[in-house]
Amino acid sequence: MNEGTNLQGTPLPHQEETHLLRLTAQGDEASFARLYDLFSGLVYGVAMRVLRDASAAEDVVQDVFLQLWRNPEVFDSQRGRLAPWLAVITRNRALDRLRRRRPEVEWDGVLAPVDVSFAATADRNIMSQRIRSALSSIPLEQRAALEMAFFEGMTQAEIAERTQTPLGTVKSRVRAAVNAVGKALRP
Amino acid sequence: MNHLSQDELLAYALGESLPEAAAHLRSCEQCNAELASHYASLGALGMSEESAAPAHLRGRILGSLSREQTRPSQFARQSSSQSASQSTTPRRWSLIPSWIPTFAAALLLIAVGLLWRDDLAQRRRLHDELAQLQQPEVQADLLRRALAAPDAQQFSLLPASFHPVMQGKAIYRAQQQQVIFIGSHFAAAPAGKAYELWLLPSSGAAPIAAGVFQPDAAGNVSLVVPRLLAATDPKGFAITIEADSGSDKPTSAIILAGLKSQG
Repeated sequence: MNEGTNLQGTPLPHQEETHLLRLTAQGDEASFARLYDLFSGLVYGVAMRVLRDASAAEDVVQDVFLQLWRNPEVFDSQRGRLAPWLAVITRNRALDRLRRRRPEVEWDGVLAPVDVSFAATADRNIMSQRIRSALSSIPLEQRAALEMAFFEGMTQAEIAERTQTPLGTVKSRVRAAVNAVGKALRP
Repeated sequence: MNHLSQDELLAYALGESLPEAAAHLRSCEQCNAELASHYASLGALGMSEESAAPAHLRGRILGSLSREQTRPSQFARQSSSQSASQSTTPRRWSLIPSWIPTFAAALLLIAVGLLWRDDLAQRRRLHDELAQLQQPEVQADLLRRALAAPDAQQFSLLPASFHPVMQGKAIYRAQQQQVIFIGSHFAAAPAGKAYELWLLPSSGAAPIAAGVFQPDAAGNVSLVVPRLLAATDPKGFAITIEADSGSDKPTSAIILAGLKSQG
């Protein structure tokens, strides 16, 4: 059993991902367990990054996976891969928890990310390294702006206020950082 | 049609409230495609944070599936739709063939069989749940939650001749950097003061603050620190009395200490 992580796991073909989701929709617990083994590290990692609290992160992992169990059809596997979608969903849930409020973003409010080439050509491990490498190569203020927006849930106006930077500068920093990540996804 | 700017799309993808953008996205495929590419980048950013989930979490989540409302299987859905499409108009009793009573008896037997199967499935599920609860990592999780629960009551069992003294036990989980401290017979801290637990690194480095606490009215302490900020191998733990807001370093004498070799 690949206990709770797929860091060293093999990449999951898109067809198998779709197959597991379909079986999960039919109530197959073994398929759901396989999805958990494949993606729990991702969900936990994002939740921990946002919340910085192991207990709260575990609750978010449980929430995200049980939502997936109850309603796996909300993710449209024809339009993309599960991993980035789960990352965004988890980030939103963790931020909701951080703000101690009811979930604001419904599951179907997040589009399935398009199937960019990394999904077909490289596993998540390699892709994660590429993302980290891309982030380390951009100016620190760009990276910080993106991380404040994504992991701390700050609006760009709030970032401008906190960093004492003009709003237009913050927007261009976030945009540049996202473009750098997007570029890293392409071969 | 005026499409959304990249900044608007990005702000929307990051969760900012933009009602006009939301309205536009309901009908614009082009902007939706660009939005999806931003989600892909943000999702990838999240994926770069991947780290192993605690082992006990798997049992907790998979164990809770049986408590979820059972979703109808595709087989069940197909069966129900087939039976609906195959239903016929009621027949008159005079035309009921003689095999009907036999058929009804067979149906009854099937129903009993199904009930027995449901009961068996339920018992299996309970058995699985119990087995799940007996797994060490699940038990550890239950223990941690029980210790942190506000309604938990603690009882210390000691020899009848024992004169109670302040004591405690610290449990450290290195991988999770998690500390659990259970104590008893603690006197109330002086006004404006609190007890502070310190991790003593085996390297000899300065003690690391591991939590500030006040005993309850009965002198009991249950402290759970989900994750220490610094990871280190401890040689032991110690307690001092500090300001009730906590201190970065010990400023008073150690009143309780335990080293690894002392168990």
